[in-house]
Amino acid sequence: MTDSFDPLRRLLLKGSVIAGAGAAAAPFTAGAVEVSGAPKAKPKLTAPSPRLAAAERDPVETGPVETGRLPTDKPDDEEYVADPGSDFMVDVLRKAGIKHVALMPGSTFRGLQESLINYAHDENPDIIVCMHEEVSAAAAHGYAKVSGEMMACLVHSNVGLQHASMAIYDAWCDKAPMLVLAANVLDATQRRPGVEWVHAQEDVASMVRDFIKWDDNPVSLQHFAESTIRACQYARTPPYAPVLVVADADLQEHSIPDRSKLSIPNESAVVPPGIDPATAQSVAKALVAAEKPMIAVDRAIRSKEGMANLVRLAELLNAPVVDLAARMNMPNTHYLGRTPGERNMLTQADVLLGLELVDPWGVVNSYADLNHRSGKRRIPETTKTIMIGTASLAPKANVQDVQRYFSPDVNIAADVEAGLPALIAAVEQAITPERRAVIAAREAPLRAAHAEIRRAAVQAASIGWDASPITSARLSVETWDVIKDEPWALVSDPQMVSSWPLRLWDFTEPWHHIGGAAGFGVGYQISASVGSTLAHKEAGRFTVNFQGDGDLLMLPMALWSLAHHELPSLILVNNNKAWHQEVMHIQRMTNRRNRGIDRYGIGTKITDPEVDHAAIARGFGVWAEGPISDPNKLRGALKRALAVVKSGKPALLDIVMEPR
Amino acid sequence: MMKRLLAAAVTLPMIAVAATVFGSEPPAQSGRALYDRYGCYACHGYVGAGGAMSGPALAGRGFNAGYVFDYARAPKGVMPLYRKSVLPDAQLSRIAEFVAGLPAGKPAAQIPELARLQARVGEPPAPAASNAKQEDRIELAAKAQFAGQCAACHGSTGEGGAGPTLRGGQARTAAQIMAIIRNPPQGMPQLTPHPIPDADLPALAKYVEGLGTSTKP
Repeated sequence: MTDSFDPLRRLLLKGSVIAGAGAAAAPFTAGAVEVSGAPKAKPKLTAPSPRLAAAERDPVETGPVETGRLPTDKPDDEEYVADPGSDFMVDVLRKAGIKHVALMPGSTFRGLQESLINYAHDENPDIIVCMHEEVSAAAAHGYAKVSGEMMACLVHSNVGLQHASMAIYDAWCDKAPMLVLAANVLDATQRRPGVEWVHAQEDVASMVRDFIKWDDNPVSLQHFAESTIRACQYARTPPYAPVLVVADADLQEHSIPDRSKLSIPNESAVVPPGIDPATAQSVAKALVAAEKPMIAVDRAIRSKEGMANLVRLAELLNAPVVDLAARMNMPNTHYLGRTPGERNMLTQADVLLGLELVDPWGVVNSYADLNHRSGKRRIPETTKTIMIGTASLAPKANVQDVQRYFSPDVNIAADVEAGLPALIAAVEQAITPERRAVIAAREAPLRAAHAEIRRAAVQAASIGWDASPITSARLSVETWDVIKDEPWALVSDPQMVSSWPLRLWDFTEPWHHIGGAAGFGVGYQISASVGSTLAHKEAGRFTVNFQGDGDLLMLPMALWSLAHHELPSLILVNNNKAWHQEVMHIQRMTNRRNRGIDRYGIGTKITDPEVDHAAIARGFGVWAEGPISDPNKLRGALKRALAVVKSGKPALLDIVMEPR
Repeated sequence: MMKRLLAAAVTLPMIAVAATVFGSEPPAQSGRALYDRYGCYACHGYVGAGGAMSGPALAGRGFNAGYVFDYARAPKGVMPLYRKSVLPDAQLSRIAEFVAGLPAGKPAAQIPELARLQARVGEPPAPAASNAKQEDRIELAAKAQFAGQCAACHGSTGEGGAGPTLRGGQARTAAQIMAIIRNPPQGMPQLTPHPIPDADLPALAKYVEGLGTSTKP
C-alpha cells in the first residue's frame, strides 16, 4: 500500500472530498441501530487507514479536508445525501464478519464504495483492489481457504458478475465460502440512459445460480440486512459455498428514511452434521476388524484440531492415510501419511474409509483415456467401502461437479471434522486387547514403508539434476532448501509440479497447502494467491506459488494487486512455454487419428514470440528476475527473491522448466 | 496451403526452441530430436524424469530398446499408440535407443541438497542378521514378497488367477518385469515403493523371471 502503487488514490480522494459530508453526518452507530459486531471506538476520524492517510497528506488533492478529519458541515441543498443506505450496508458487512471487500470499481456500487472509503475508512472492511472481477472472486476463494473466514467480492452488475463467474465456479467446486455482492439498478425508472441500462439485469444472480448455494435480491435495507446475514450463515454451513446478495444501487445511494426501524440480526451459527453414535459404532466395528484398513482423504481438514483427530484415528487403526490433497489433511511426515502418488495402494484395502472424497467413483475405479473408454473397479468387490462427506447435502443439477455416481456400502452425510470425535470414541471402544495386538503389529512395516517411499522420492529427484530446462524436482528441492526454516505456506496446487513438494517437503500444518482450483479454471492460481497471501500475511507467513505460465497469462493483472497490497508471495513461474495439458490432449488426438503426430504444438505452445514473464511482473510493480534456464543459477535467484518476500513484498522468478 | 504454411511456421520454431534449451542442436534424425519432435517429452520429460500426472519416468529404468519399441507399438496403459504409418520403424528405433540410454540420476548422497533431504528421512534399515547365505536370504525374501504381494492374483506358483499366468511362455526379462511392477498396466496395483521396497525389486523380478521359464508344474 505505498503511494507509488496506488493509481486509484487520486480518484478515490476526489470522491472523499465530494461525498465526505455524508459520512460525517452519519456516525458509526447512527440513529438507533446498534452494531454489536463493529469496533465502535474505531478512531476513524483521527487515525485513518494508511491508504487514506496517504491521500490526505497530499496538500494539492485534499482541498478543504483537514488532515485526519472529514468535513462536518451539513449542507442544506437538495443534492446533499445524509445517512446514505450504503453506510448501513457497511454496518451489515461488519456484523457479518466481513473484513475485506475485493473489488474493481464499477458505477453500480459507487455508493457502497464511497461508504467503504469514508464511512468505514478503508478498514474493517478494507478494500482489496483488483483489476478484474475474476481476480476479486478468486481472492475471496483463496482467503477463505487459508483463514476460514469469508471475504466479500463486490461486482458491477451483470458485466462484473460475468467476469467473476469463473472464479465463483472454482469456489463452488472447491467448497469455499464467499459473499458475492452484486450491485445493480433494479428500478428501470431510476436508471441513467445508456450504459446503466446495458449494465443492469432483472435477475442478476441467474447467471451464476447454478453454482452458488443461495441468493437474494433485497428491495429494502432491512431486507438487505437479513438476507446478507442469512447468506453468510448458509455459506458457513458445510458444505461451504459461495452465496450472492444483490446490493441495489438506489438502496445504496439514497438516505435512510428512518434508522430506528432498521436492525441487523445476529447470525446463528449452524452446528454442522456429525455422526450419530450407532452409526459410529457400526463403522468402528468394521474398521477395527479389518486386516488392511485404509483411509483416503481429500477435502476434509481445515483446522489443527481436525488434523490431530485424523492422525489419532489413523494411529488407533494403524491405517495408512492417502491424502489426495484437495486440502492439506494428513502430515506427510507421519508414518501413516501417503501422497496422491500412492493412491494405488488403496487397491489392497479390505475396508476403505473415504473422507470427503471429491470423486469416490474415481478412487474405487480405474479409467483410461482411450478411444474405447473403460471404467473398471480396481478395488476388490469384497472391499467394504465407507464414505463420510457432505456431497449429498447441497447438490445442484446443471453443473456436473458431482462426478460419477458411486454407491458405497456405508454412506454417511456428515462434516468430517464434526464427525471424527464420535468415530474416534467408537473405535477406542471397539478395540479389544486381541485386536490391539494385531493393529500394533502393523506399525513397524508401515514405518519402514513410509521411510522407503521418502527415500525413493529423494533418489528419483536426482534424474536430470543438472539438466536445462530445469526439472520440477530440482526446483522443488532448491526452493525447500531456502524456505524450510521460514514461515512458509504453499498456495498453488502441489500436484501441478508432479507432486514433488508433497514428496520432498515436510507438510505438517493444515495451512501448509490449500489444494488447487477444483473447478480447474485457468487463471485461478495467480488470482487466488492474492487472497491466500493476504490471509497468510495476517498470520505472519509468506506464500510460495508454483505458478503455471498459462495460468499467469490469463490474469497477469493479479500481480498488481499483490504489489499494491504488499503481499509477500514467492512466485515461481513454471515456464514450460505451453498450455501443456493441452499439448498432451492434442497429441493424443493426433495419435488416435494417425496423422500429423508432430503438430501438437499448433495452438498449444506459447512461443514465437516467447513471453517475458519477468518484464510483465516488473510492469505491475513486482520485483522479478528471469528467464532462468541454468539450474546452477537457481539458488542465487531464489535467495534474492526470498529477501524481497521477507521484506513484505511479492517477488517473481521466471524459470524455464520441464513440462511437468 | 495456408494451413500448411501455418503449421510449418509454428512447428519449426517449436522444435528449434527445444533444441536451443539443450545447448547444441541435435541432428534432426537423432533419437534425442525425434523424442522431442514426436512429443515423447510431453509426458515423460526432456530427461525422462516423468511426471506425476502425465507419464512415468523412463530414465535409468533398465529398459532395453526392443522393449521400448514394442511398447510404443502396442502400449498397454493410457499411452497413445504410435503406428508404423506415422512413425516409421527406423525413427522409432532411434527413439527407443535414446530412451533405453537415458541415464539414471546420480546417487542422492552425491548431491548436497538431496543428501540433506536423505538425512532428514534417515538411512535404510540394516538387513537382519542371519546364518543363511546372502543369496539364499535374497531368494527367500523374494519368495516371501511374491507370496505376500503377487500370489493373490497370479497364484501361489504363478499359475494365474485373477491376474494372468506368469509361467510357461513368458519371455520377459527381469528388467522388463521390474518395469511392469513399477508402472503397472491398468488393473494391476502399484506395489512399489510400497509395499515392495525398491531395493527388493531386482530379486523379486528375478524370481518371477524364473517362474516364466520354469517347466515345473
